[in-house]
Amino acid sequence: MKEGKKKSIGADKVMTGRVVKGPFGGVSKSAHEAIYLETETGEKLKLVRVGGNPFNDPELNKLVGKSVQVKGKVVDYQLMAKEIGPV
Amino acid sequence: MSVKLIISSKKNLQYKYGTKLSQVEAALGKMVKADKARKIDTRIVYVDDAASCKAAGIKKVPNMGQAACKKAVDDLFAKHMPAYTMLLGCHDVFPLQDIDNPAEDEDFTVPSDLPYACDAPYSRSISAFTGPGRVVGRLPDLPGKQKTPAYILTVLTNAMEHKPVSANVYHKYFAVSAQVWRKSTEMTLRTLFSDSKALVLSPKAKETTDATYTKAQLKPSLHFYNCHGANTDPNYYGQRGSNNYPVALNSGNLIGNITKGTVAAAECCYGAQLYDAAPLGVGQAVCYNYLGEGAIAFVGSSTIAYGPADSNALADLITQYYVRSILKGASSGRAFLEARQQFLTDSGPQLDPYELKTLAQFYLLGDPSVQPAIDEDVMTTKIMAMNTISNSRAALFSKGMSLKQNLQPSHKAKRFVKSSLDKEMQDVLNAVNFGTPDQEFLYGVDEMSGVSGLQKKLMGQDARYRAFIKHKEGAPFETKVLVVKEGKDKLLGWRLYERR
Repeated sequence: MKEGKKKSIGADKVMTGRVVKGPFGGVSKSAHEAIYLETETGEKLKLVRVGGNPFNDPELNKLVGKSVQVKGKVVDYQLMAKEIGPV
Repeated sequence: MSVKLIISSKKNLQYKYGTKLSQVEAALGKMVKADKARKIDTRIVYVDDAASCKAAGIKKVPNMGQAACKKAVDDLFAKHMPAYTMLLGCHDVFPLQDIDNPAEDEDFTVPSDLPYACDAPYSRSISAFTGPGRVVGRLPDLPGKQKTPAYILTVLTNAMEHKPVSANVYHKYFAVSAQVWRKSTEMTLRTLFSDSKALVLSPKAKETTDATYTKAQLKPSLHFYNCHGANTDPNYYGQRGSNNYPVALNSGNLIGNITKGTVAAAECCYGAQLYDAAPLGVGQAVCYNYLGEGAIAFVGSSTIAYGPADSNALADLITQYYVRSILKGASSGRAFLEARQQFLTDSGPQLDPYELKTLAQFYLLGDPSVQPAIDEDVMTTKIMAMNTISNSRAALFSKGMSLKQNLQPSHKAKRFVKSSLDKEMQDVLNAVNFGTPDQEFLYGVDEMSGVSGLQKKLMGQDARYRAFIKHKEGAPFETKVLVVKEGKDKLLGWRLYERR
């Protein structure tokens, strides 16, 4: 299951950071506006709420500018949030 | 008799199903018998099992990595010349091949089955795989360790039990389009079915509620989607304006509502992504529920896909060509190979980065030997002329080789050079109301050897592409890409794409 292990989704992570709405995607890839979590270490992960609409999520919009703690899984470039709460 | 190879990994199947693997093997035995009745000689090859490899005449793979599995498939093709290659299991059983993303978006790589369809050695570069000539499909199981083999047994049974029906059955369609792409989808449907009356728009008007469909609505045997999709998401989404993205389809809506033998094609971003739903706590992917509920073939994308809003290109074309071949009576595998080849023929001779990504990202999920429909018109002409499967495969393989020789894939330029055609370029940006681009990228085109001066001139050997990218403020997924082709001293053409 070598390939499977490489691709498998890890355990839930708890991450803290600030919710930002702004350019996302870095230099070499397309930078576009998204809601993302900027962690204390400077890591940026696109924020998606499990069960939320990834194209327009009013719940995430309300969190923009706030510091939060997120429990969820990291898949590629996004953090799939199961729980979001205040720090 | 035609040869069909079922290629998989015994160790990975054993890991997932334990002692219940015997049930899967029993089902595969039934498939071999059922295929024999269809005059198909089916052989099962586990590339990581010494005895199985010896029987198939190849070396056991040293590991189940992508390079080793690509070589195993190539060796098997050279040895057996199969009419159909069926990869059994999802990517954690038999790997998808990671292609470096040629386009500018957030996908790091493009998981693909295209390399298995090409007579070229392992590579991560899409440039190596512009000559598909083999019929390949993947019958996926669910990712991760499974308590029961129920899903894989179901999809194997669905494939075995299907008997080709009149193409008229597949002329009845169920189609959903994001409202903003209505024109493009109508164009596709009119090309395929001569009308677009049954098209469902998402949203229909201004409503923001999620769509659900009845069993009667989902009854047609041909399903087509031109909607948004998202990474590891069980929904497809519609769009009206910049803020209304209602659910156009939830995968749960398919449970108990799909007609056996359904064929589906989806243009959506991530429309056929094989993600592991359980640990994420999300619903099963749409493609999984289609196949699990009785569909026999699903064509879709692993990653972010593109197409225009008001015309047909990229995702529109590859899915459209696939359905067209199905309606003409092709097996699902041949239909998809023909779609890939037609897409390349129409897009070439030079291929822009978004055409290359489209080629890599779409794959066929299903047994490639299953023939959904019989076209009675074709049956009639067979009395006058006949083409054996082996002759058809030889022609398709040869066409693949020819495409490889004659196509020029683009690649990102090492050094960005500003265009000397500033005014003309601005005219194009103005003509399509593009606004000020957020980003601009330059792509060169691989030189082709053995080309005469006139041919070189006609083909625009010195051509290069400029991709302008524009993200609409406040609408993170509304991305437009304008690809302009320029020659030494003139613009050669342009295309406007939107992210699906």
